Amino acid sequence: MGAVIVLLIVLTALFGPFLVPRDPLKMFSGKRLQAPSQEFLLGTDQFGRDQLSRLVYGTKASVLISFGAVGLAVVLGILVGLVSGYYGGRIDNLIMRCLDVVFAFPLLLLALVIVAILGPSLKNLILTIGLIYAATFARIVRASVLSLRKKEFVESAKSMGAGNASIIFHFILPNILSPVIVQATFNLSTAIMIEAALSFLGLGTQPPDPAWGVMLNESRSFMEVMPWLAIFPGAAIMLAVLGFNLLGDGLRDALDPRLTSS
Amino acid sequence: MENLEILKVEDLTVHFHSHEGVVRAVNGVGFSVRPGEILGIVGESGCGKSTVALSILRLLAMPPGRIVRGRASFQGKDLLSMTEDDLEEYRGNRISMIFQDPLTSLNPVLTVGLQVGEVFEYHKKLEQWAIRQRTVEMLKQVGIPSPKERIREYPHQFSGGMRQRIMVAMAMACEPDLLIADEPTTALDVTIQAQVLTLMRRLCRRLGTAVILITHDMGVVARMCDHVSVMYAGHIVEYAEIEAIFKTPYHPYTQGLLRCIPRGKSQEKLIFIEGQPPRLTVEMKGCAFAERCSLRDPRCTEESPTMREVSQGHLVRCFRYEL
Amino acid sequence: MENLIEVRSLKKSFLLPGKRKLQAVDGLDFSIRRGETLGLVGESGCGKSTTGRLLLRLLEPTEGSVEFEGMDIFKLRSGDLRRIRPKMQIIFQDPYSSLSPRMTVGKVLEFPLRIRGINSKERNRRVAELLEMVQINPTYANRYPHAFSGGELQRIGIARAMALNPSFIVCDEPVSSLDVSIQSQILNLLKDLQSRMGLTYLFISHNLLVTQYMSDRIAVLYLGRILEIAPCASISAAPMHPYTQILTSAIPVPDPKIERAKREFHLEGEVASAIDPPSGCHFHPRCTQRKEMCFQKSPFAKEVEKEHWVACHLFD
Repeated sequence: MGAVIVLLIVLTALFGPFLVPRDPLKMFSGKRLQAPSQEFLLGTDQFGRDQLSRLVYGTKASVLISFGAVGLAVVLGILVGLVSGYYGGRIDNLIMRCLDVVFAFPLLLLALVIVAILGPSLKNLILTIGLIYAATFARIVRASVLSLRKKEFVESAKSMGAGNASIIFHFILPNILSPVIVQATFNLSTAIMIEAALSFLGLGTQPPDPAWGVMLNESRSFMEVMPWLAIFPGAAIMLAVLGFNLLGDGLRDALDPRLTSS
Repeated sequence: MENLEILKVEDLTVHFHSHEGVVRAVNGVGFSVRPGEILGIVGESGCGKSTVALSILRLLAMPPGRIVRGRASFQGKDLLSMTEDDLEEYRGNRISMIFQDPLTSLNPVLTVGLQVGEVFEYHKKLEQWAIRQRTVEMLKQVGIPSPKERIREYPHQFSGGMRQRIMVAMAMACEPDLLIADEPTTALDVTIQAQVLTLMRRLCRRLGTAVILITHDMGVVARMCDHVSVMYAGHIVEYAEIEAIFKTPYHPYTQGLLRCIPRGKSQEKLIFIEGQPPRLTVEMKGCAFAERCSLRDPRCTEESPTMREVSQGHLVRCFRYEL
Repeated sequence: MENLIEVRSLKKSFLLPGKRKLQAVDGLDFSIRRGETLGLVGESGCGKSTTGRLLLRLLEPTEGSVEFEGMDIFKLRSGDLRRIRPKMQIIFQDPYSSLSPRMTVGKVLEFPLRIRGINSKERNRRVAELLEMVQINPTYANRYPHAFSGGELQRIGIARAMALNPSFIVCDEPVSSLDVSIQSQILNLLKDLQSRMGLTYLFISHNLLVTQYMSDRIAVLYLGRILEIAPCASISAAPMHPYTQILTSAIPVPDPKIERAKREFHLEGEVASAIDPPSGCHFHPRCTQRKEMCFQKSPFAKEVEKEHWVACHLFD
């Protein structure tokens, strides 16, 4: 179920821009603040811009940022977690202290600060969210590695003369992927929310580029009279978050090796 | 004729509902226990012996478990059909149970004194000072050193063997008529196992408590039991006095089981039983052991044999003994 | 060479939080002859698993040496060590956790061959050969561990240990997690392989009866020390150390006559801890025959009969 929703979203992000009826930035001065109609399926905003097109374009931003950030986080997190967990000792201590610093701050606050310093842009947004999430993954991976390191199949590999690289690649890595993947899908959904929140605050995607958070922000002044300006982007955010969460739940069950049939 | 048994189980059938289907864990099991005797129920993992034990006191999780049919008459009353409230009178009082893992069967956040005392409080309705006195006495009886001081300690401060003794104390506190012990020493070291078994036997003999001892270890059976029931795939396949089971086992499974236990002689090769126990999700036609039985007939896979008395007090469920 | 393995003064301690020391192995001296099975028996905490792993250098010792074919394995450099590793392998107790759940059985067996640089065609042939050796259908090679039963998994574990043609295998409680009827299958398989391939075993177990079935000689371990070591028949017929006597009488034997004849069990006390072991002879707190000296001095092992060594002041 979740997979279906996510698939839809990704497809929209990829192909939407080619299918929309109108340029999301174009302002139709004569048609401002119109309710959903046949001409403008989701209505127009205060500048006369087609909401549907904006919504679709906004998908791209959300998808890009969430996948980009999480992708970065996974790669970085696995690397750091592996090194920390497998080699232990002083390196592990050092890394864990750094991670503790990251965890000490509330996520959104940290993101705000970093983006405020670096300046809002797509790249910076991905970098920020990605780095912060990397800490979570690193901790998860490290915990898995610590328990896997002591397992008997690792001892067996050592008794055969396998090198560390070989052991990590064949025995440790395959066994940590499952919790990482599940966590990643959940992080995808929160990444979307963070992007929306930052855009809402003006620190994310800058207007006039369409993004769901931006659209929400802009709708604030008109909400009482023209509720659809807020409803549609809000619903989009909810749907995306829901989709990723469902996907995560489903994946968690599917990846349990005991349930896969041979 | 007077009814001598204190517990009589008849046609006990228990199913579990899992996502793989219905697991027929226990099928038409029947046995009886006389006052003061030690009955062993022996079998390998998955044969249903633990399920039988839990069913008698209705301690099974239902769902997914379900007692499909059967009677468990304890001194004339059927335990399986009485109300929960009535059953509470029996549990811990007239019938007690001890479990395999001493680590998880004791509450880690309550002192040992409180846990043993709880039994007295609930069933005997004594004053606090009397409870404490009886608790200390009970701990002394099971061999816990310095019981007055130790009643204030928590389970994790005791070793595995000690914890199991505390369980015995809790179980025997109200001097029950029947004790159900589910693999009580399996998790213990051999020398500790011997201590705990000796304790159980001594205490039960002295108080006249009957025991149902569940185990997979034929050696434990030989040490402790008066009678034995052998279980396989949810059925009882043989029942006899202790000497008879070891000297003249009739059922091919019992014979196989006894032949494949190493007794320390390095020369003889163990003769093992081919194959594996059956999956209990399939409705079996014929004898459950037929598939692995080297002595099987065509009849064995078609019909199910019934339990018959082959010699004095010795029952077998096998076509080879049906005349 | 007569002795495949020579162990001298082997010690291993672990540091626990709070600066406490766990003396798991406390001065072991023994040897294992080529082709024999030495049984190592003891209760929990006696150090038998640690010993097994030390012999394979899966752990580093605190003191002492282990000679394999005349070479001290702890002094070998990584290149040399890597060369002899295939000759010494291990089989574990829990079949369910000793295989990686994400590797097919075929890949599990292939792995040792791959890291030795054996080519793909030869690897496939060998994997099929190994599976047949342990009586598992070779077409099951692409199944995952969760599809197999405990007994089958244990056989796969044995196949894995055999993959590199070892001469010595440490069997760490290989049947303790299995049902009795499956145990005998595995024990017989191990015996078969031993006679066919000329293997040497260190058979670790807490079950004396099983150990007696498998071993030529038996060493009794208690709190990291060997209390008695003797041919299998002597250990059962004439155990000399008080602990061995207790152990042999404590084990329930499937024979009611023997069991009834045993006197009421006389061993007091709990198994002591390796963190703060008793002084002198480690067993003295529980020994009914202890003397003054037992508190103070550790007894040395003495050859009391041919091939029968006991570490006890009663035999001084």
